[in-house]
Order: sequence, then C-alpha cells, then structure tokens
Amino acid sequence: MRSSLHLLSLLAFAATAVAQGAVEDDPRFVRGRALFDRAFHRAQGLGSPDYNGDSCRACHQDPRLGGSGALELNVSRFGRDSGGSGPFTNLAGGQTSSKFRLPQVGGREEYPVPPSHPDVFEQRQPPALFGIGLIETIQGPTITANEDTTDANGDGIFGVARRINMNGTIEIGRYGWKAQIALTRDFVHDALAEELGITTPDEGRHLGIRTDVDAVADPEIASSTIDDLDFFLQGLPAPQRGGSTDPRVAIGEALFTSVGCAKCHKPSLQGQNGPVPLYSNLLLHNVMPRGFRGMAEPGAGVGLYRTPPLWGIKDTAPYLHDGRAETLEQAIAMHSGEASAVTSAYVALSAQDKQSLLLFLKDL
Amino acid sequence: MHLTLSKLPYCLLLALAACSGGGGSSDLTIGPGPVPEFSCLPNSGPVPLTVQFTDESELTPTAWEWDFDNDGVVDSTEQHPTHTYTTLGSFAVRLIVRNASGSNAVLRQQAITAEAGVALGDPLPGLTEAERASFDRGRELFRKRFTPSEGLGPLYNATSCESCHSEPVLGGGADLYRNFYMGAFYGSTPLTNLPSVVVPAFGGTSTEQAHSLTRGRYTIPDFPGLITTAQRNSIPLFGVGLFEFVSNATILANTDPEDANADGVSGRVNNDGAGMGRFGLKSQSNNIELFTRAPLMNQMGITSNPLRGSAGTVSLEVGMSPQASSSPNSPTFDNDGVPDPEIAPQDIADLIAFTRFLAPPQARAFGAAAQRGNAQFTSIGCATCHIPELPSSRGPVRAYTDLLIHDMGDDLADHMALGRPQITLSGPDHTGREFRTQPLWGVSKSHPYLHDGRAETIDEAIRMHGGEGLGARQRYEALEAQQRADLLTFLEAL
Repeated sequence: MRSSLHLLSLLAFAATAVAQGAVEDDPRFVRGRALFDRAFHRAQGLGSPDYNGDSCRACHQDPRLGGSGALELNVSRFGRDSGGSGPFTNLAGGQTSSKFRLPQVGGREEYPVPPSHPDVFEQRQPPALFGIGLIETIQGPTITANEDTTDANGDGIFGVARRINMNGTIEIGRYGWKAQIALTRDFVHDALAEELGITTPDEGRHLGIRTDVDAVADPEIASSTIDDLDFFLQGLPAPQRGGSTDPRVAIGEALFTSVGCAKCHKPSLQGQNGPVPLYSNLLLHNVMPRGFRGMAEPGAGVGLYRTPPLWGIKDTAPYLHDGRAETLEQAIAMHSGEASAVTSAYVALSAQDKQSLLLFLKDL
Repeated sequence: MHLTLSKLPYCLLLALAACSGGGGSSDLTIGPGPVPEFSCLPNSGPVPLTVQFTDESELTPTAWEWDFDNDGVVDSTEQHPTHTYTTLGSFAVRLIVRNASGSNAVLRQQAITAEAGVALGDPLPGLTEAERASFDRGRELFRKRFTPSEGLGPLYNATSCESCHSEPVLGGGADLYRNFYMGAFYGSTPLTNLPSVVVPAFGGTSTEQAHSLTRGRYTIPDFPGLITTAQRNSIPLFGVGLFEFVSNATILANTDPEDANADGVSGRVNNDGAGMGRFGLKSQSNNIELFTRAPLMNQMGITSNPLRGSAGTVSLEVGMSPQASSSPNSPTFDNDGVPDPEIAPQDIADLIAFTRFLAPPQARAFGAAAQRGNAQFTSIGCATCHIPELPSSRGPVRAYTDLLIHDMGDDLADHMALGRPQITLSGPDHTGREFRTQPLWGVSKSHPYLHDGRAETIDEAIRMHGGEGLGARQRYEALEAQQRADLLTFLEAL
C-alpha cells in the first residue's frame, strides 16, 4: 500500500508542477490526508448523535480520495413548502437530515416523528474537491463581475453571486451546491458538523457546531486538526486535462462556446496566481424545470444552484445536484430554466457534433 | 560416536491445520564440538514466507552454516539469519555448528512449510478453469454500479455489491457509513415473530422520495406502519462458501436448545424454510443463491429469477453446488419500469461463484502470546460458541463459529425475527435476541464489530456480549490485563 501510494505521488509529481509534488510531501498534507481517510467512531465524537458518514472519505472517494460519491452517498435536506403551493420554510432542526444515528447500546432504535412533517426533500450529491484550493484564490469582485441580476443583455440567463453575511461583512460564496460556503476552512467546519456530527472550536465564523449531546467533550476536534484538513483540501491537485489529440475535441471545445454552455460554465476565472480553468462562473442560476420543488436559503432561492465546475467531470457521474442524470448527455438535456435556449441549441446539433462536444467534456 | 535421535519438534507447534507439517523429525550428529539446535518462526505460512532462524546451539559454537532447503549449498553463515521462501513446499533445514573442538550437524525434516499465498479477496486454490472464470466474471459484476435505467431501485440502499463489501478488499465488510436499517411492522408488542424487512434509504431522485432514516421515517408510502428498529453493518464474505460444505449433522451436533449441560449456553439452528441456516447475521439463509439474490433485491432493487427450477437453469460444477435444498424463493419483481428480471441467470451464477469461491482469511502463525491467548480463548469459554473448526466435505473449516443462533441478551437484541429457528420447549419461536455466532477468521480486518458496528474494537465487542455470552465476557473482564492482551493478540492473528 505504502509503495503504491508512493508510486501514485511520484506519478502525480511527474505529471504536474514541481510545486505540487512539494505540497504532497508536506507533513500537513500527509496528516490531512490521513485525517480525511480516518473512520471516526463513538469514542472520537462521531454523531451528534446523528451523522451521514463516519469519515470525509465516506462521501468523497470517487475515483479516489477527495472525489465525489455514488448515488447512495447522496445526503438529504428537508423542509416544508405546503405541497409546492407555499413559500419554502425551514422546520425545527434545520434542513440537514442524517442517515444514521449511532447504534444504541441497549434498547432498540426508535425515532420520534416530529410534530410538523416536512413535505419537500432534496438530495445532494457529494461534490468532488479537486482544485478547491485554486478556487479560493478567485476573489469576490472577479465573481460578481459576471453577474447579470436583471438579464440586462436579454439572453435569458441571469446569474447572481451568493452573498454571505459573515459578522456584518458580505462575503461571496464559492463552494457547495448553493455556493453557501466561502472558504475551504468553513467547508471543513460545516461538513464535520453536518455530515459527521463532530463539534469544532469556535473560530469566529459561526460554521459548524460547538456542542452536541454525545459523551465526548466538546470541541471534539482541535483547530490544529482543522489546519491539517484545510491544508490537505487546499493542496488537492486540480483535475488535469486528458490531453486528447482527437481533432473532435477541439471541435467540441468550439461548440461548447458557440452553443452557449460557456456563458455560465466559464472556461476560466482569474485567480490570484493566474487563471483557474474550472469551467464555472461560481454564480447561482436556475436551470430547474418549472414546478421544481427544493430547498431555499437566504440568498439562494428554490431551484438556484451554483454553476458546477466541469473540470474532472468525466470522473464524477452521476450528475446534477441530486445525481438524477446518469450520463453527461442526460445532464445536458435536463438543463432547463435559464439554460433552455442553450439546451435547445444543443439538441439541434448533429449527432456528430454532439459526439464532439461529449468528447471535449470527457477531456476536461 | 554418531547418534541419530528422533526428537520432538523444535519449531513452535501451532494449532493450525496449515502448519501441520511444521517441526518434523530431526537427524542430529553428536561428536566433539557444539550441539546444534535452532528454532524458526514462523514455520509455515503463505509465500513469500520470511522466517527468522534463531541459533540455540549449546557448547559455544563460533561458526554456523545454514542450508535452508537442504540442497547441499550453504545459504548463510550468520548466527541468527532470516530467509525468505518464495517457492511452495515443505523444506528441510540443515545447520552445522563449529568451534575449536569440532563440528556437528542437525537436519530437521519438514521444518518449514511454504504455502500458496492466498491473500484476502483471492479465490480458493485449486479451482477448475470454469470455476475461476465464473469467479472472475462475478468479481467484475460485484463492482458493477447499477443505474436506475439498468433497474436500480425504485428503492435502494446501495448501487453495487462493492458498496457494502469492500473493506479491506473486495468481498469484505464496510465502515459504519454503509450501515443499513431493518424494520418491523408495528402492530404488536413485543416485536417478536413479525415480518422484518430491509429499509431502503433512497428512492429515485425526485424531491418527494428523498428518505431520511433518522428523526422519523417521513415518507415511506410503501411501508405504512413500519418502524425502524435495527441497524446492520455489512459482513465480510471471505470463506463463507465453505459453510455450504458443513453438513447439517455437524451443525446439529453442537445444538443444546434446552441447555441440557447447564453451562448457560444453548444454541439452536435456524432455517430459511427450505434448509438449515448458515448465512447472514441470524443464520437465516441456507444457500448462497438466496444470500445473493436477497441483497440484490433488498439493497439495490435488482430483480432476478431463481436459478434452480427456472427456465434457463445454470448448472454449477458437480461437487461445487450447495447441499440439496429446494429452491426457497421465487422470482423478485419491482415497478421501476425496467423489465424484470433485471439481471441475467448467468450473472447470478457468476455472483454466486464469486462469493462461494472467495478464500477464507489465512491465519498468521501464532507467536508465544497468541498461543497463550488461544488457551485463554478456550478456558474462558469463547470456544464454546466460537468453535475453532467444523469438519466439512472440503476439509476443516476454521471459522471459529458453530453457525448456530444464540440469545445475546437485551442490550444486543434487535427484535428482528429472521428465519424459522428450531422450536424449543422452553422458549418462544423467536426472541429477536438471537444472533449467529459470528465467524472470527479475519476478525482483525472486519471492524467495526457486532451486528450494527457499535463496537469499534475487538475488546469493546467482547465487553458488549450479553445473554449466553455473558459468562465468557465476565471471565474475560476478570482476566489480568496481560492475559486479555494475549487473547486479543490471538484474535488478531486469525
């Protein structure tokens, strides 16, 4: 195992910049990777007592550590919208519902049904984390520069940045299906709380949970541990282009722009250390069908989702926020709302052009 | 003077079938000079097998000549050398020791047995070509991730067999996050003798069908009145195919349903309605076909037809097919819009072959601590249920189980009534407190422990035994710390 890991890191070293190899040899990266892979249990504070996964790897594993997850690794959110006719409201306990509660020692598992029943649910796929350190170098103004909150150019496509009130300061969200997270460190706090039921120290950004009801003293993880996890996430290499020399890939790349995909899936955004080829504008758009029911958050209403980055997309099936699309073709065809015109243009392509576009996407 | 002595084995004799060749007879020359003697650890195991040789010669030798395979070539002149055996076989080892007075030699026959290297996840050695091909196809299918358009769902917990059987390698168990829930239908108290089902966590991807398993079952329109009552941590499949070859008579011989010997341990057989139970946490399945088709349906929503008695029967190699049992099952079907069956008979046969032919975990050679632990294991009563070895038509099965179900007390009770256990005079038909004695081979690689993974370590798992296991647990807790450590060392070697 050790030798194959070593070989992998050597290959990664050979394939990417020298600086990347240095990151992967950094003790903080090595510790962070081990923490990411570590299965927690009762004694380490797993569960609030509820949880979705017992490790970071439990959701982020495809095709390797740090990636996405299969359909059964979806997590669920819940709320109430009066059968779709009323405004979305949160119920007690927030939107996150957990799959598991720590097995009871003695007594059988029983769950009380809350007084007010939710009537709307939403599943979420675990997003792949490769390259999220680079996304963090994209500054708020770079993101907001692409906003079109009133569709001023009349192309049917809006685009609004997710604004997060952080202690009175407005920050721009970068991560999560609704761009609800600004920093990778925030993501660590949030995921430890929501998915593992692990309490984290108060670092002044009110993410995560400070206390839970298990027997382990809070916080269940130290800031130094969060440092290591954050360093690992920051250092996760970005997906690399496949580098296919098939001429259809270049044709597909041109189609990607001419059809209109690139309006939202912007090939790159400027980061502090250069362009970041993520194929996203990091803005919220509504591409859901009419009548779609789902979760709403302040600044991100029902049906609004962040343009998912497309780099590395060949490895992250199934697609869309809940994994409803098995294939890239299905995922494209399921774009409606703001993307209706683009989807129509795609549908009108010849079979050959569709194939070229697909080959381009699979090369990302 | 030249004496030939037949001596007791020098090398550690291990209570392992795999090591039966260890420590053969010795030819010893005794003349002027040191008296040769050595030990070797381990003396058997899978190749590549690295053995530590320790010189124990008397009368102060000053030079050593080791011939690790008795081919006449001196392989080492160190006092305490190591040697790695890379070829299969039983090896004689010769040691010549010298000093100023002279030299003597010892030749130990069958000192080292290097076996086929069977790693976790490998197939049983000695399969026919057809069996191996079926195993390999089954392994690929085991990894196949089903999609809704291929029949996944409409309700499901997993998208592949691998989802729940991948730790530490394909065919194993899974971490806690792969747990699933079982439920029983509400209606009477206590929940005995009620039908119980696997509760699917997911149903499609529509907003109305996203299920949560905690904080109440918000939406299971398909299961009105269902309450969740038990979690399950998936179990490893290594070696389970051998349970098919343990005879009913062998299993029955260990039952003691009325605790006639008054040792606090009873134990009865379960039955799936067509044959004596061997598989599953409650020994609720008699054959691997059901053990394969049931999770395909219950965990993935993949429908199938039974192999036997159905059109297009797939026959398995004679001698490899399970013991006679009538087909206990009927075709499965669902309403996801994909035509049933959603998997072909040949695919079912290949999945069965993968499970059936997965080799059992290989025990490591027992060092001194493990040997002491092995003795404790028996003396405190673990081995009463975790019977080290059951005879089978394919040789001894060293799984450390009796394949019987035992009452494990109220704390472990999950109130799930699975199978049709042997009727007893004194007890109800099914208590919901009974579990199959979990096999312990490979136990160090199957954490977390117990039916729902509530125990993180083997030590915790032992301390959570109740009911019929309470006596052994209390004797374990009463051991000295070192004795407990020895016992755990033994278990980790299995």
